[in-house]
Amino acid sequence: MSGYQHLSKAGSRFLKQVERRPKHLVDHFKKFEEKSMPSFLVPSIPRVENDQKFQSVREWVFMPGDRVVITRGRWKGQISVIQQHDKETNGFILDENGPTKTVPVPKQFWSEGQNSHMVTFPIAVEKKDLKLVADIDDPAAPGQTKTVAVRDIVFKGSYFDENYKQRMPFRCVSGQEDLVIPWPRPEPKADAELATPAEVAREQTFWVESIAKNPIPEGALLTVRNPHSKWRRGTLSARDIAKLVAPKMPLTKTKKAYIAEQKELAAAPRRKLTSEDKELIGSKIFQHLKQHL
Amino acid sequence: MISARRSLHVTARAWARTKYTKPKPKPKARLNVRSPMQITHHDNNLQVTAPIPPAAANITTPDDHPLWQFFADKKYLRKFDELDVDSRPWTIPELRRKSFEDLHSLWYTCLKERNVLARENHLLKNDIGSNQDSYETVSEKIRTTMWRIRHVLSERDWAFKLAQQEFGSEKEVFLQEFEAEFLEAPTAEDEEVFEKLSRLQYSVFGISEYIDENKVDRAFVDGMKYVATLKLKKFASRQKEVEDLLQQSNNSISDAGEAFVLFTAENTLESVNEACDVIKELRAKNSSVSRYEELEIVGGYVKQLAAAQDEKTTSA
Amino acid sequence: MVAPARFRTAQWLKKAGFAPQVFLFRNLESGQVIYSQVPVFNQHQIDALFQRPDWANKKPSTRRDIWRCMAVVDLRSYEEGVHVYQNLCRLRYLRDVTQVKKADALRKKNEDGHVWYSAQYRPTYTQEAVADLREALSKAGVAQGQIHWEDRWRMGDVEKHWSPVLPQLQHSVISRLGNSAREQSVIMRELGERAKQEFAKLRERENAARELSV
Repeated sequence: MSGYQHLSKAGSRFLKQVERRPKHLVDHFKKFEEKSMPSFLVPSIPRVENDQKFQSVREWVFMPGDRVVITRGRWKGQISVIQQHDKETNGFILDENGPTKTVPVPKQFWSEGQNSHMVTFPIAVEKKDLKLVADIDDPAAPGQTKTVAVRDIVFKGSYFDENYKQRMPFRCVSGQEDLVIPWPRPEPKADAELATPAEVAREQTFWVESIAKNPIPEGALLTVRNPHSKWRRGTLSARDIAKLVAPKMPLTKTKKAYIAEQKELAAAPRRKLTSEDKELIGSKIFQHLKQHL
Repeated sequence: MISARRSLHVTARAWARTKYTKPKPKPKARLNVRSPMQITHHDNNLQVTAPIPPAAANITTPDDHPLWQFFADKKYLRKFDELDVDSRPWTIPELRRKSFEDLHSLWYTCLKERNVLARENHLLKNDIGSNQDSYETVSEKIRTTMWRIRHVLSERDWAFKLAQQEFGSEKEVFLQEFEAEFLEAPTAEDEEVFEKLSRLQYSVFGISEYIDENKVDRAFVDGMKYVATLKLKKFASRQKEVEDLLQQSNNSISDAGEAFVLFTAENTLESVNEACDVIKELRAKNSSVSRYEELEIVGGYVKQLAAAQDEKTTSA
Repeated sequence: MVAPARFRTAQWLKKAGFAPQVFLFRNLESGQVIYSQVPVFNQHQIDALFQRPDWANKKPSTRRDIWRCMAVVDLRSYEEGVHVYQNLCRLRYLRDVTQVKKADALRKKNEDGHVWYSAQYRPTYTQEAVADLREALSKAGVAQGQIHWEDRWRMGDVEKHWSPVLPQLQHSVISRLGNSAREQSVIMRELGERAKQEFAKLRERENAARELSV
């Protein structure tokens, strides 16, 4: 594999063919993948295709920091906190109360301070095996709260969340939609290097001031837009039309002759039935009828 | 083989010499001997030594070397956790609020960052042989900002062009409305009204307040005439001489020279009065600007005025 | 200027208006180096300096665009210059003909056991030329002198390689302002003029000293 794939698309068509696996072989390949991969790299739940990966919070439902209860398997009934999303499998990695597996790790993958081949990893858990846990007011004992698991969650409306710095839907309990379970507070992050402060980004510096002067300098226009772009729809020039319309097929000799003949025939005077002709036809019919009837 | 001549030359003398023959005396040392042309010779104790490799340490790269612009913090490769993966691209509504200068500088900031990322990505793919796309992902986000900048500018240009077409038909009505409002305003509001006028001359005719920024074209001259006429009309109600001039010139200034005098006059009664005097003088001299030479002549005037203002500011 | 097609004596060089200098040119494609008594070179030098050409050390062409001046050595007298030139040529002969094995043992090799190369380029030839220059100067007993290098990089570590052997030798770098590749001949002519002036000054000083002592 050359290191120029990022610069040139040459040959990418064939690489795509390799990537596109036939559907009936997907499971087959997956089996071999699992067999050939070391056990500490094999995910506990199946990987998902790129287009199946969760994108939004509506799909994830639980965010890191949420308390959840496991509803299936060995760890059924265990309450733990979500540590992170596993984007490869659409799963959730839980904290130390969650499911784990202990697998051997070859020495070249050892981390610092490790002195055993056996390492305990957290296992990702699927969304359907988790229920959200929340504290709600206890109607039996006023002033106190009780911990409940929410069977189902629905999303209603949305608001701008300061912590997530984006619009988030309200997370409501299905069947009792006035009960909103707030999103967990993510760990605060400092602005990254390429970030622009909000006040700078929002500051308005462009005002429409003149209708006689273009707000964009003349010289910049060519770099903004290609005036000769073939994608620009406009009126077709005579040249374009000439290119688009197929030329007229020349007539064959026979056809020409036929047309000429037709013309000649059309030009010839029409014959009219004279009374003699009519009498001749009448007599013929009379003869015919006389013989047959 | 010994050549016959040479052997004879040596042996004949040897044979001829007996113990009784006296050897010939040595010839005297010549005085006019030419010294040899070449006296030096290579040394005979030369040794083959190990090659001396060049030293990169001899070169000090200046901190302001232009190629540093392709490096982030002078690092060969940033680590993945040093990359900014959280930031999102600028949105189109955000970019719409920004002036051309802001967008221009943002474009170049993006371009430089993408250069750094492209270099790092190339090294990662080619030198290290990894197939990670971390640098490319960030670069793609920046690319999104960049096409959005172009989109916004293109949009702005279309808006301007379409607005110009639309406004062509409504311009007359708009100017007439403005004129009525302008003339009706009482004397107390003069300052406000003239400010409005200067805004109008920029927005409709593109005449900037700073004289040196202007490019003299048809719109400029038309605007100048319009403004001159308005000024004259404004002050006509206040002074008889101005009104006379207005009536003499058929309620509008059509000569570019006269318009220029009025246009550059300050917005006070005295200076307009002075301008009127100058115009009268001009008319007395019968000097007028032909319509065909208007642009050139007004251009010359504007240049002179700008130069004069320049001198004033420099001397101050 | 046309390069002479044979060896030139000190007197000839002086009479022809050259400075007491030795010139080194390197090939941009292959890294090979040729030595010259005058600021130009021709087939004569190439024939003299590449006596055992093989696939790894091909006889280079005289194409002017692939040769660059690598170093100019200023010396105190014309005799010294000629002596250093003779030493350089002798060292090349030793490397190519009489002590091939010893020279080859010192070269960096690639995994196939050949002289390390990238495409046509073998950096070892240039580095050998630098080592030879040092050897030639030190054996010729050149105490003082100056080397004008094309860049700081080429001379190597001065503290490690040059100062212990030739402590009084000066190193300087040819100015690279502007298009130094295109202006090479002009730059070298200027260097020559300067060296000639230095030489004249030195002679004057020597004469004055002699007169004083007399």
